[in-house]
Amino acid sequence: MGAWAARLKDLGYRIATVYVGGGTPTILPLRDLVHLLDRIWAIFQVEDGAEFTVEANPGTVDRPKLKAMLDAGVNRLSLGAQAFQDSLLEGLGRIHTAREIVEAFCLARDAGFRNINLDIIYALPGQTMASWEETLEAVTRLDPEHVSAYGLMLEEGTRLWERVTGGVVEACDEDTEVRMYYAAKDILEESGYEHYELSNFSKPGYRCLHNIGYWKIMPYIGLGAGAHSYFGRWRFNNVYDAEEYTERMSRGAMPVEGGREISKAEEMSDFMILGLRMLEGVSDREFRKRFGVGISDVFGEALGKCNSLGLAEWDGSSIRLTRRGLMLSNEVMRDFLIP
Amino acid sequence: MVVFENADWHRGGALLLPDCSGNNAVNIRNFCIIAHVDHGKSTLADRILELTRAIPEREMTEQVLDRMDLERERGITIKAKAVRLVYVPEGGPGPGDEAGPEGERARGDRPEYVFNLIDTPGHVDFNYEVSRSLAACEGAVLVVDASQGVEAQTIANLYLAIENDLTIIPVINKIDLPNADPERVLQELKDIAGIAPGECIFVSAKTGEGVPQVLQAIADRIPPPRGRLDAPLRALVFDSHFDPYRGVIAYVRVVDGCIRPGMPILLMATGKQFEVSELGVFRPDMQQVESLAAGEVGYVVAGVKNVSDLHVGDTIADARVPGIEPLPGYRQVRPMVFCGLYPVETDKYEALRDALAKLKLNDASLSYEPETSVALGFGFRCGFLGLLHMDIVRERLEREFDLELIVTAPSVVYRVRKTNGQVIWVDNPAELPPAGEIEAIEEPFVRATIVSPADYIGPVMELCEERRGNHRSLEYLSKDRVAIVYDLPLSEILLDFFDKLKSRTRGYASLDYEYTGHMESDLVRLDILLNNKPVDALSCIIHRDKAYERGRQLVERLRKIIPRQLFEVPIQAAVGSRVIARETVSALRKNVLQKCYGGDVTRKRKLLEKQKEGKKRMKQLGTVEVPQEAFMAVLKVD
Repeated sequence: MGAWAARLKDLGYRIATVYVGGGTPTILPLRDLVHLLDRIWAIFQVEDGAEFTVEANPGTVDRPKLKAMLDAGVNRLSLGAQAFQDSLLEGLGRIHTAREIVEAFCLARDAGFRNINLDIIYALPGQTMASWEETLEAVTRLDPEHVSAYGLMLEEGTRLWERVTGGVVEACDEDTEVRMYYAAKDILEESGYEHYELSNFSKPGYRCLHNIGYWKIMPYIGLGAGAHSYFGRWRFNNVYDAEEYTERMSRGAMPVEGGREISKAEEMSDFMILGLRMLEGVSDREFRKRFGVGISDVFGEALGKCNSLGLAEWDGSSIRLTRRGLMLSNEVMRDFLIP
Repeated sequence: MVVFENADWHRGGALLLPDCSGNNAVNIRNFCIIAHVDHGKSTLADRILELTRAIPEREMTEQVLDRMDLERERGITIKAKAVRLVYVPEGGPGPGDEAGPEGERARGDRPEYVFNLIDTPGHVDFNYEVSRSLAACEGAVLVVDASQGVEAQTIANLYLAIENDLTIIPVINKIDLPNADPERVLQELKDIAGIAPGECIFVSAKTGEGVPQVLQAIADRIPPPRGRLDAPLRALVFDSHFDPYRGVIAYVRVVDGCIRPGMPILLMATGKQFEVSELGVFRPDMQQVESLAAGEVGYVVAGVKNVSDLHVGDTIADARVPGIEPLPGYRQVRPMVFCGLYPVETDKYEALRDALAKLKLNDASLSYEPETSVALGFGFRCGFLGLLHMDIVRERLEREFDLELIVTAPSVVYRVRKTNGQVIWVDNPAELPPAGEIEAIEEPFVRATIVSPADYIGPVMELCEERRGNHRSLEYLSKDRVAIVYDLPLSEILLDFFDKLKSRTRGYASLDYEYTGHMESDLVRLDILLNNKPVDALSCIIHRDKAYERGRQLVERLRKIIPRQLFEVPIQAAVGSRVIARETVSALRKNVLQKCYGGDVTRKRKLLEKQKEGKKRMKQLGTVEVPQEAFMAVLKVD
């Protein structure tokens, strides 16, 4: 980490956002958690007022921990609520209950968090449209600054996948999933949220700057086993095995593997594909500023056909997905692969 | 005892050959081996080759006569081959017997025989080729599996041999198998063709047991070739192959007269004339000779560049002698089954054309001509002797020429009588004239012989009735096995009839059939419409009574194959303007990766690339993207 910090300092970089997550860092004992956060400030040149998020699961936070995080410079808390029905939470293998979500949220507010995100999931086996709307209502009642709403991706090998393939529970059908997606959009927008990325909603001024960095192809550094980085047009990741990672770090070796240089063409393609995830889309001005050419110079064919499909709109100065295009975004993005 | 004829034959000197000065045909035996598939024909041929030392043991690979890999893999013989063997019966000169000059030995009183073994294709698609091979022989070794007994092809081949007036040597093979029941087979052979049990030889081609007796029976029972040496040349072409250096090589049986290099010859069916440049025999490799006389089997090279100039069944005559009567039995082979072959990648059209031309060089029964499909672009309409033939050609195109192909549903050839009196042949459903111009449609019929355990008479007949069959006869081969004969439309047995027959008889039934003629049927064209537009490559001609059920099946199957598009796609089956079945592929509503942060970027890109690749392999029909399997869907029937 020290090596990274030194390198960044040499290059004149400062850290604009910090995100501690992937797993549940709040499971750490208070002392270790505070130590981790302090070390980040100590080692890296983090800008004053930088967005500093910690992921937490309801049931792993208490008042002292929350206070300590605030004191250690954390200004954004992301809570994995997932659902507000205990039966669905159990199906997901979550240890917390709906009641604990509300408790954790209130504790965080009381402790002083002014920027809280709730993660929620739809298209769960056994979830009905009614229970999804109930979840959305519960969320709007709590009134967090930010909501991430994801459709469940059944992944092979998970407990849920086994239950579905084993016929214990029935997977959500595609049409219902699509209806749930648009229900979330409509209900949250009505409650004052901006739908700013395919799966993300925020109150004005509370977009997640860290994630926007990913979608705008800004450099990022991942620390920890299996963490991905994008730096100096290189994509790479740390070794996945935690023990190997620790072992390498302890003897001062590089934990990095799987590096790949991204060509300028691929970066342009990434810029479009990831940029289109944001509802404001990609502006020609920004593209030009970054690459020195216009979008139409590189992706003229894709721009030419996108309006006719009704999935995206190109008005000559920017391209963005239409409402229908949100759930069919791959159909649009595919045309922005490097030819 | 069988005596090997040392290495002498390599010099070609010790052979007792007829030459054009004196006829020694009396010691020639021309025969073939006929059998139902898997009854052991090739193994027996291998043993015979071994025992007559035609091939040194170290070169012996299984089924030497079947040269192409494909043949070996499928265990079937595609092209007839002929091989000349020398047989010295018991009491003849043994190994190491060097006594006497060769010429003397050859004319001595210890007989030596020249065997010409003509291998025949073992599949119903090649029936005509089989019949021509039989016509080149005086005898046939009929191989029957001791446990399976008489099967449909046994009967068909046996009758074909009897029609050609051949002497039959019945061989009951695989007597080493634990479930062998040779007694039952004896009874069956007696019942179907009056074959006396005493004539039958028990053999295990695998262990070699009984094979010497077969060789001796060939020498003793099969008559020497008939035919007159002093008559003008007449030779029967029973097969051919294309050699890139010498052109077409004709496999012939000389019936009358004698053929020599330099002789001008006339191919009587095509009327073309050539000059003989080379003659020879197969041992089994090609070996040149100076002449081939009446009764002999060998090959003729005469500068023929094109296999289509040299038809199987044709008569080669001396071009200088007028008024020669051609040998009987010739007919022009016509493809029975047609399908469209299209390259998956449209820029491979030229490559496909060149590949077909190359295959055609060696396969006179393959036909092809350019065809354009609205759906599939540029391709070829190809004609085949049958489905196996079609399958072999497709596989060779893909394997040997590295082509990826879309094959449209096979169609038979219809004879259409139009209201204006015109008669046309239609091998592509898309070319059927409008209903108003059609007086009647005739379709090809076959006579099918099915041999089955008597327990399955019900299911077999039921299947034949479902397939619009006309019952002809039912005959008991033994108390528990029957031969059932039906007249059936070829189109009804083309696709899955055999599989169905097998599954309804637990694998016990066997099938053979032959084309009998075209007959009128109440046929209609079934069209498939995607997004309200007919897809020519999916049309088929079908009996009116079956159109509804087939249409229903097809649209259901297509609904499962055609992926969701960005809009709703109706799939309809129609006869004329009447829609008889409809399904809908609902519009695609979701194709999104919802979570995409730092580590997901590479995965996201891979997903999109995979989708793009998949799309490339689709055929664009109007605005609808259709996977290639859709065109194969028509091939499957439930």
